[in-house]
Amino acid sequence: MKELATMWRSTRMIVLTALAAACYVAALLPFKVAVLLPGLTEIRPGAAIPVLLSFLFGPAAAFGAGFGNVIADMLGGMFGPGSLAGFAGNFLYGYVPYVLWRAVRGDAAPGERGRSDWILVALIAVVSCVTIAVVIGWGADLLGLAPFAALGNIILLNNLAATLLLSVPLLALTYKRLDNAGLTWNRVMDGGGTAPRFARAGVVIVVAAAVGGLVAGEIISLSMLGVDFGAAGFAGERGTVAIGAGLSPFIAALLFGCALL
Amino acid sequence: MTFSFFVTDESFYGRCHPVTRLLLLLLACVPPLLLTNPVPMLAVLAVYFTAAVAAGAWRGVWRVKFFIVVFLAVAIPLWAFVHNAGDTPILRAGPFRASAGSFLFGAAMGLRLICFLVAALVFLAATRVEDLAYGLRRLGLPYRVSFALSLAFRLTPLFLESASHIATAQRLRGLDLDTGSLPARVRRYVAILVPVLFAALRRADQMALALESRGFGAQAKRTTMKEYRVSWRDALWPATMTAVVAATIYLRNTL
Repeated sequence: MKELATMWRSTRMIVLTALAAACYVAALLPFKVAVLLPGLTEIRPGAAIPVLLSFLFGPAAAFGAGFGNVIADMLGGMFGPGSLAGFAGNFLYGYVPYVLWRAVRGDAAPGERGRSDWILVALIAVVSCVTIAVVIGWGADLLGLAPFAALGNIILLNNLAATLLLSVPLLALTYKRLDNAGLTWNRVMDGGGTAPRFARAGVVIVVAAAVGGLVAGEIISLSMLGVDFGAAGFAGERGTVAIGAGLSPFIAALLFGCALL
Repeated sequence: MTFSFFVTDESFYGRCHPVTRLLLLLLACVPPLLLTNPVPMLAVLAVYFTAAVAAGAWRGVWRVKFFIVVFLAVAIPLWAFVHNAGDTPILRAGPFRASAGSFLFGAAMGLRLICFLVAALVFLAATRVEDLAYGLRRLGLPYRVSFALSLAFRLTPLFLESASHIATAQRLRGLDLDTGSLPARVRRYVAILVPVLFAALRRADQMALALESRGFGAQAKRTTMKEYRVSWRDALWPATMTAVVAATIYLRNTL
């Protein structure tokens, strides 16, 4: 996790952060009119960008995704308290693929071991989609902007479609060329340092916290509140307190897992 | 096409210190979050619209009129049918029920989003990217981080322009983005995204070299072209906004 601080010493990583953010904004802005939940989310093929750039630029993609989402909210007329949850969720969305890949495969290039590598890339992309759904769904519900069951699931489906359809093929097309140009994170930061000491534990905690958070969020909002299925998670303040308190341990575990990586 | 909402920094809002502007934006988010009744929410929105006119942000508000309509058109039915207000239902659709209370709640939620939108537009109409970066720096954000943020703002129009040129060039070569299933169309965007990404990275490499050759990060203490001074406005407007927050709390407890 220390690379989140050390990357700011490298001018190239700073520029890559700005570039990742600008790329994300450019991909999000044209679709701001395709609203799914007003003021909160829209159809987002651009959601493929943070996962792709996370494999390429590592920590720069995490900051780039966070900044990019805030800038897109500002320029697209959706800026508000929800942008805070948006920053946190998108930051982790751009951070989780990089840390999970590094923990499992070290400095190896995606695709080096053939098909099994691409399956791993796809699985990591799924975990990062679950992560952003849990974090933004939780944050927006706490702020009283949208219920978890609606926003969390929309973000999950939206991002899964974009990452699986676009991120993986784009990564296959771009990684080698960018690595040869010395623009991937392990080239810029000289391999990114030693492998994390508790990598396995970190991976297990991050995956368990993300999946567990989603399942817990669905259970809390769908059944425990005693409301109709269609009204899931829309139980007003009672629902917000239940989601806020129920998902807090999972969010804390997610951050702890990331800290271990 | 313009991507900036900035109008002037000579308005009542723009003359405040950048840190005060950020504080005012933060305070402006509080009243809508406290309210779930559309009547006081309308009063708050009226205050924000007045501020938008005074700050010269009304053109920005007009530019995003689509969102204002959509916020209300989607939020009211969405919340009306799924929010349990506890009163007698007046409409039913399968498992969904809507009551007068849930319709009012939906209207309040739509107005809440419009309040956030107008508050953000007032901020953007009076704040340049460098003002934002300066304000964030004064609040403790490291210079390099605020630099990355402001650089991202500046790169965005360049990226959009480059993407538009590449899309036109690919269409001329026969790329069809308008037919086929949605996944097929999305996959065809790869032909645009890859050249956009490579063009951007070429620029990034040159930019990093240019920054370092100009001594980027050589000095720990930074100087700025523009000097920002704290004035009486930096006490008046936060105090006024605090009064609006206090009035909202009063309205919330009495209505």
